[in-house]
This record gives sequence, structure tokens and C-alpha cells, in this order.
Amino acid sequence: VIDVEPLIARELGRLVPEPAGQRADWDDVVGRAGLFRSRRRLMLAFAVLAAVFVTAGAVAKTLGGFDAWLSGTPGKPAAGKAQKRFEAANGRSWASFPTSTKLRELIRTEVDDREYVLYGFRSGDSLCLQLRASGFPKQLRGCAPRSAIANVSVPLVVLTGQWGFVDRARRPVAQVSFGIVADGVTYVGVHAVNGFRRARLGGNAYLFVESRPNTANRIFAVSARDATGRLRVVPIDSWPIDSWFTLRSSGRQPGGPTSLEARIAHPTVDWAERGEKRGFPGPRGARFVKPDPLSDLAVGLAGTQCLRALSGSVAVAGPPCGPLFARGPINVLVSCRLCGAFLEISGVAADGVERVTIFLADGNSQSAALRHNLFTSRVSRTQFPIRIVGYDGRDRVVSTQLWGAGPGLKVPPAAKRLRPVFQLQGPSGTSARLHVGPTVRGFHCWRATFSTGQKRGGCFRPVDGRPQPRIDLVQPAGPDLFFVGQVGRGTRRIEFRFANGDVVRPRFAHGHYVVAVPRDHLSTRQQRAFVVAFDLYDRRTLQQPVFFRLP
Amino acid sequence: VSEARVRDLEEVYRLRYRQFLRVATAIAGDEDAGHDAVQDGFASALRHRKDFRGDGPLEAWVWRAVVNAAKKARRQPLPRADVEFESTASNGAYAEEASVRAWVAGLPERQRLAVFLRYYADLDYRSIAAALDIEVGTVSATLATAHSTLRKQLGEVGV
Repeated sequence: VIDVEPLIARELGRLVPEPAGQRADWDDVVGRAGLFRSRRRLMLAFAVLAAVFVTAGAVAKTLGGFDAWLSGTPGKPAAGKAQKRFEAANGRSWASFPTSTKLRELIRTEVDDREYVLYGFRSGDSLCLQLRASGFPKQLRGCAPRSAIANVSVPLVVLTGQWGFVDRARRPVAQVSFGIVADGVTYVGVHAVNGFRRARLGGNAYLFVESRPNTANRIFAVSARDATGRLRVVPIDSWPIDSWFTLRSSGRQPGGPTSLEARIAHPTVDWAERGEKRGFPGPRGARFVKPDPLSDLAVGLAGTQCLRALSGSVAVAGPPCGPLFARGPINVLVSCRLCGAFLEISGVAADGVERVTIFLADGNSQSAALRHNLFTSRVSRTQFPIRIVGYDGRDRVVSTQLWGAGPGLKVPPAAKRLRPVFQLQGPSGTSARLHVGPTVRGFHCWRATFSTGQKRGGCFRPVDGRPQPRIDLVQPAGPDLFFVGQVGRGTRRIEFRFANGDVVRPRFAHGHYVVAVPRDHLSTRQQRAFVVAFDLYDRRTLQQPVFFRLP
Repeated sequence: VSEARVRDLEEVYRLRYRQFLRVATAIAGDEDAGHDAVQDGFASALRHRKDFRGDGPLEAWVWRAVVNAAKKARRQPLPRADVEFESTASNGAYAEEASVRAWVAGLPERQRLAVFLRYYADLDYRSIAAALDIEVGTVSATLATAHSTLRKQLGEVGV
């Protein structure tokens, strides 16, 4: 008889290696059990009582929701060094948060020898998360308005859907996503091109870190299991349309008035016309005002014709200067800093506009902070299209503007009629099929399907006639790996050059190509290849790296 | 008595967290879910600590709660993204791992749990019996059957 026990022990040991014990957290057990040590229980009761008095309305609206963020103190106070670092960076910003802003540490984790710490803080109407990754001097920040959290119907608010850290050689080091989660959420997962991954939870927030991500590894949804066990999936939208991956026309329309009740005959900003200086001087010759003194958003004017905006230390590239009120008594600038999940709304309202309300696609609305004719707010990408409405002192509608719902944003159905153009097999037997559709009113759609079940694709509007190859997808499919992309018009050929000298020259159909990565390069170690494009005269026009590995 | 039991539970947790995590991971399918199961299992044990009658080791009683939590975690479906282009995902696991996983997955549940508790947590038969709420003799027979099945399958692939 074979002594089977050592064999079983060895094989089982491979299956589930002995874990580290760092995650042990007895306080979390006690919390899950609903038990609190006497002192903590007393403090909690006190805090809850205070919150009930102060924010009774909000709590009623968000019962089972984001109370920890709206009225509590998630996580723990940040270490002194982190707080000082934050204060120093904040102090250098054009539009800074108040100096009394206190960071709280929510999640600390280590991935591939690099430490990631997620902090959170509240300031006025802004709820913000900030991520520090060791080795990278700049921190990543995402903010949401309090009203967006209070009114949300899902247990998760994504603040940064996806962001990549790259090293000096432009090699992708990590891909991250983070956001706020509701009280009682037990589980958050991230859906990406390379599969489904679980995120870290802590301090009513989630943090996802993918180390050494593939080129173009998109995160397209985040799912959360709420306190009742219900699973909710939140798509990560790109806006307005340049993303090929999540292009979906919501078909929704925001509420709010569509017609005017009164007119402002000659819209103007009197103090600017008089040359009066208001606010503080900032970049590009403008003077800025912070309509919400507790936020990091500022908006300003340079002269009487140039609208400018600031987000923290970043000056937004504004529109060309021109008459401010050519389209009515409100002029709006939509921008994004690091282009997270929330977009910044900045604008100027003519004299006579007493308040500005933003109506959202989900039926809710929020007030913009307005001061000295200038206003700011933040709106989630998922809430577009929006309607920005100005009211006069008698509460009459004097301006209404729709944003993000132009006819060009809807993909014509005819563009979605796809047909297969070619099929390719990887060295391990996985096959990939590519389908493309006709170009209709500038829209072009495609889809790649894999025998292992994945389906990827989207629609886009080609805007570039230069012969630039584009990598849309690095898709792991079972034991194989595929590159999927497009070439620009005027491209004669492209080739992929691998580190060992292998060269793959894909054929393309309707401007699309699919490459099966050769067997020698199928590894979990991050590798680099170069895609090189040649124009009609066989001149090399571009060379760019593509990073890839199996999960 | 109650406070003493809380301290005892905390001590079991601190001493044996890694073994609990390993077994829960094996049952639930991934380490995050395993960690949740350990936390939830101990939380359940804390809430119901008055139900512990003291007719066996406290640790074995906790094992039952953790195993149940891990089984519950495994039953929860993987989320699917309700988006236009969704992933149906592959995990690219190594073939060798996949075959070991297949051996274990092919065992009836009781055998599989007994194997996990025996090899990952190094529990004796009495504790396994308490954790799975079966007789000690049944543990012996269950493991013998599991060994036999595994022996046969290991032999087939020449390990």
C-alpha cells in the first residue's frame, strides 16, 4: 500500500499554500459580532446620538447607505507624517482645502513590494479619497460631492475608476481603482479585461491594485455585495465618447425645466466689466474665486472674455476666449483632473442669476456653489447628460443648458451590424474571431470573441488619419494571449517585435488586426514587445511598446 | 464566564488564525473569501458563545462555525458584470494545480472537508468529528475512503 499521506499533504500544500497571518484582525471579528467594549460602545452611542440630531434628514435618506462617510469618521487618523505631507502639498495648491482638513487612513496594503495607502477626508461638500503609492511622488485624488453620495442608489461610489502608475521607462507598474462603499458592504470585485479580481475593503472604501498590468487593461465595472447580501454591479463609464470600451448611450434625459420663464436682456458681469479685481490671482493672467471655500475647485476670469478653472494645483485648459454669454446668461466649462469618475463643472453666470441647479440623468439634482457670478460643482460621469439651470431672484428660469446628450453621441444601429472578418488560433488552441461593422455616420464598431468565452468590443469614431497602430486589447484567453487593435488609414503594414527577435506580421481587415502571442512569450512574467507601423512608402512611422503577461 | 469565553475565543483566533484561514480558503475557493469566512465564523461563535456547552474543545466548536461560514461563502455566486461587453473570464491556472483541484473537487463534501481539516489544520479525529458534527468513527472511515480515492487518482497520473 502506498503511503499516500505525504503525497496528499504535498499536493494540498501546492493547492493552498500556508497563508501569512497579517490579516488577522480581532477587532473586526468583534465588530462583525455586533459587540463593543464598554468604552467604545459609549463613544459610539454618543456619536450616533449627535449624528441623529445634526443630520436627521440625511440619515433618513441614506438609511443603510453611506452614514459612515456622511456623518461618521471612517478608518483611523492618518499618521503625522502623512498628515504633514498632505498639508505641504495642499499648501502649494492654487485652490487648496482648508488647513484644518484631517486625513484618515482607510486601507494600507502591499502589492509586489510596493505599499499603497488609501486616505480619505471630508471638506465642506467634498468627500475625497487620496492614494499614495510608494515610489511615486504624486498622489492620486478623487472627490465627490456630498449630495452624490447621499442620493446614490447603489452601495458603491467609484471615485477613480481606473488609473495607471508607470515608471520612468513608461512601463506600467500598477493599475488602481478606488471608491467609497456603503456601510455593511462585505465584498467588492473588479471586472477587467484580464478577468475578475477582488478588491481590498477598509474604512468604508475599496482599493483595487493590479500589479504589472497589461497594456490597455481596462476596468469596466465594479461590483459590491451590500449588507443584505445583494450584489450590485456599477459600470465604469467613460465620457463623452472617445472610449471604445464602454460606449453606451444611456438614452436618459435629465429632469429640470427646458424652457425659459424670463430673459436677461444683456447678460454681463458688472464687476468684471468695471475692471474690479475679485478673488485671488492665479495662472494664465486670471483671478479666481472659490465658490465653495471648503473645496479645491476655483473658477475665474481673465479680462471679460476668458473663463478659467482650477482644480487643486492643476490649471484646467480652458476654452478659447470670446464673448462669455453668446449662448445665454450662463457659460459652462466641463473638465476633469486626472479624469476620474467625477467631472468638474465650472462656470460664470451673468448678473441676475441668483442660483444654479444641475439636474442629473437619474432624476436627482444638486446645487452648484455660486459666488461672485462664478460657480463650481462635481458630477459623476454616470449622471450625464445633465441640465444646468439658472434662476433669477424671483426663482424664474433664466437659463437652461443640456450637456452631454448631443445627437452625435448615439451610435446608429446600422453601425452595430457586425460580420465576421477573420479567425485566428493561439499556440495553445484558443481561437479568436473578429467581427467588424460598417462605418455609419462616422461610427465604427467591432467585436472580438474568444473560444474561452470572452467577448470584447465597442464602437468609436475614427478621428485620426495618421498611420498609427492602436492597441485596444491585450486579452488573456485560457492559456493563450491575444493582441487586438487597429491601424490608421495609410498604413501599409505593421509588425510586432518580441524581445527574442521573433517578429509577427499580422494581416488586417477593415483596419483591425488580431495577433496570437507566440508560445515562447506565454508567461506570467511581464514582457515587452514593440508594435511598429509602416506607411504606404514603407517608411517606419511609429514604434510603441506593448506590455503583456498571462494572469 | 462570558468575558472569560471571549478571551478564550480571542486566544484561539490569535493562535490559530492561519490554520483557520487555510481551511476556509480551501473550502471557499479564494483567500479573500476565506478571510471573510474566518471573521464571520468567529463573529458567529462570539455571538452564540453562551451555546457552547463545554462538552468538547472550544476550538473544535469554533471550527464548526468557520466551516459553515466558508461553505456559505462558496455558495455565493461570482458576480457578473451587467455591461454590454462582459467578461466570462478564465484564470489561467496552471494545469498541475487544476488537476489537484479536480481530485479534491471530485470528493464528496464530507470527505473533502475532513481532508482539509486533517491536512491544513492538523486536527485530530475527535476535533474533526466535533467540527463536522459526526462520530469519531465516521471520521476514520471518511478519511480512509478519501485516502483510497486519492491514492487511486494519484496512482493514475503517476505522482
